[in-house]
Amino acid sequence: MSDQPETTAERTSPAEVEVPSIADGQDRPIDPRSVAVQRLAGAITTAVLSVAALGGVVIVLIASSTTWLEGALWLAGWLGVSAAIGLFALLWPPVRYRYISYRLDANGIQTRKGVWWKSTVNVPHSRVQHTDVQQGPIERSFGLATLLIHTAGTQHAMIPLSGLSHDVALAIRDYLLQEGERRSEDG
Amino acid sequence: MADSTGSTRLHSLHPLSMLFSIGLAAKRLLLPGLIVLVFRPGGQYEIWLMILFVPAVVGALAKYLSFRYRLGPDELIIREGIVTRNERHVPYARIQNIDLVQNPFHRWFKVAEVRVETASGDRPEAIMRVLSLSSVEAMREQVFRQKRAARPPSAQVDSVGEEVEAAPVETLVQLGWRDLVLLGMTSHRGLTMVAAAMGVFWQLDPLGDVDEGWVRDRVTSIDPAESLAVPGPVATALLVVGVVLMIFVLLSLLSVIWAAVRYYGFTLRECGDDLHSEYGLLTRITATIPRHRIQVLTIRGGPIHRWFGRRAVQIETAGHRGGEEGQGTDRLWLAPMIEADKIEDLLRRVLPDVDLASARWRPIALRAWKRIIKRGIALALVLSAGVGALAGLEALAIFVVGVVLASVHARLYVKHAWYAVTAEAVIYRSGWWSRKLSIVRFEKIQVLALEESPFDRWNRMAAVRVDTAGAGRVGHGVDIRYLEAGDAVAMMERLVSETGIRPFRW
Repeated sequence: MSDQPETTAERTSPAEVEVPSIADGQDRPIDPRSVAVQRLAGAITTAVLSVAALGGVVIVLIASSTTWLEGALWLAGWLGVSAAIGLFALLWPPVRYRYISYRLDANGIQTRKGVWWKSTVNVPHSRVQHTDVQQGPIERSFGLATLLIHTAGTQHAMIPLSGLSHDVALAIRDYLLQEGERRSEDG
Repeated sequence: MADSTGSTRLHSLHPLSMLFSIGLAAKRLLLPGLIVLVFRPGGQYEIWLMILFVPAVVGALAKYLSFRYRLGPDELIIREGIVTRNERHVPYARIQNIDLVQNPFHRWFKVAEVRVETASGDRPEAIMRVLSLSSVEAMREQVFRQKRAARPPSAQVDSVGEEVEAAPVETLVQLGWRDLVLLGMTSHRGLTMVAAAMGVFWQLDPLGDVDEGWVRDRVTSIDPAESLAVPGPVATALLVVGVVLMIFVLLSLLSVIWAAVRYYGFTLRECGDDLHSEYGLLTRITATIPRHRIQVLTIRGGPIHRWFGRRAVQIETAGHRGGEEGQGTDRLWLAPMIEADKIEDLLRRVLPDVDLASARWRPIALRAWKRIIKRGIALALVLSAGVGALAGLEALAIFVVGVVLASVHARLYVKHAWYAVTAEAVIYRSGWWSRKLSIVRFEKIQVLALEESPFDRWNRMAAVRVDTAGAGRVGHGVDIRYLEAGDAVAMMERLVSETGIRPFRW
């Protein structure tokens, strides 16, 4: 950048000395176990949905005096839809997983996600207000966690990054915290 | 901390606070009931509201008796409550602005309603109803002096340095009556006012007792052909045109009156590092905006603005916007109406480090018009198919008009969308009918996002979104669609590194 202003002089130089290993500027995938978590969550959703739908079908069948053939068709339809949802819940997580990554470097943290609608979100260190590490029951049983990065932004007031192993989430949180403090001292 | 004047003294609200609190309660609780009583005697829930007036008065009294504030060395401490005591500490560094609202009664008694705003949340951190003008001045002085001292001297563009106190006050913008008229014409307040009036009218139904038959007889006895002495259809057409014209004139008049009352005597002054804006005929609003708190600055120019060589300049601050309570869309005006050729001057004073004139403008992807036109055609197709199902072949005309409009829109959209990355800021301008230009300084960027929809990727394009605190919840911001993918990535990289090296200060 030739037209950079003289502010480059007062650049808060990132201390190369003690950059933790996670902040290496490499795109990293999230934990592969997140596929299993997503599948389990999908299976539960599918089960709940299909049971509810089955209830509906049964009520319809009882309320309207249908023939055996019609009843069988209704049930087949229910089975088909449930199977489709179940199949999606089984096949989608690994696809989705391949398109999620994050990167930590001297500038900040960057997340990428989205299979069809892709979005790359970048938060500079000094703009991280605070972070949360959350664990739902399924996540906890797999040792995973969700990192929430809060900013002062409007549309991106909170950037979630789920499917991290709990240790990694804590390490990123500590790194962001420490980096943010260092920068606000400099600033 | 250098200054300790009054740092231990507890202040209470102005004794007239009780009066104003009771007045507010009366306006909210008694007025609806009274209106109902006058226009519509009989059981209505508004009347029950009047009973609530008594606890409201007690509450006002309790609030006055318990409310204390203290201007500490570096924070404002507010205590209130009798049963549940609450103590709130607001660090001066977090205070975005201190706004004053004065209606005619306030001005009569030389007091004001004070709103202390911080960046958090969308309502003021503290509303002090009411303080005497001298205590407001003392508070402002303490808050802003401490804040200035708290900032390191190297920070910001403070060329004025420490003698800000002594800095001369200079008027940057002043609205004349022509501007007020134009402001009225460009706002649609007349329409909203009529709609609101209709709503109230409908609710109260003061004509409920009038015999409808009587009205019908009166109306039908007027024969337009007879009274105008012209043949029937022409008279009807004239009547329609006349009524439409009259409604238009009436609405414009209402809008102009609204603008004149609300923005009467608008002035923007520069006082050291702060901008002071003051306006209002009946309710006078005074807002203080520290210049470095500007998150986004937007210049707008609709067709009427451009016809008269005018623009409107708005800013977003991180806090709740100044102005009336609950008016989320009322962003802070730097100038509701300003001559286009004075903008450069204003910008130089308000954002000295942003040089609009030397910005190197870059276009969005020129072939984006093909995408925009496709959307327009799809819309026209759906619309004309719908009409076609009902009306038949006439729908074809709608389709043709739709396609023509879509192609004009697409060409103009691309022609008017430009962006620039200068030494200190990113700028985006767009819109061909109503033109907007938004400036975000790197320092105020919070989050950067690069977005690609399937259509974007198919066309090798991308969108770059720049998120800030208080980013155009309703307005324009730096949100650039249809960029060439390469340009988008390069821009993102540049913005990420520029933002990363700048610490963020509210």
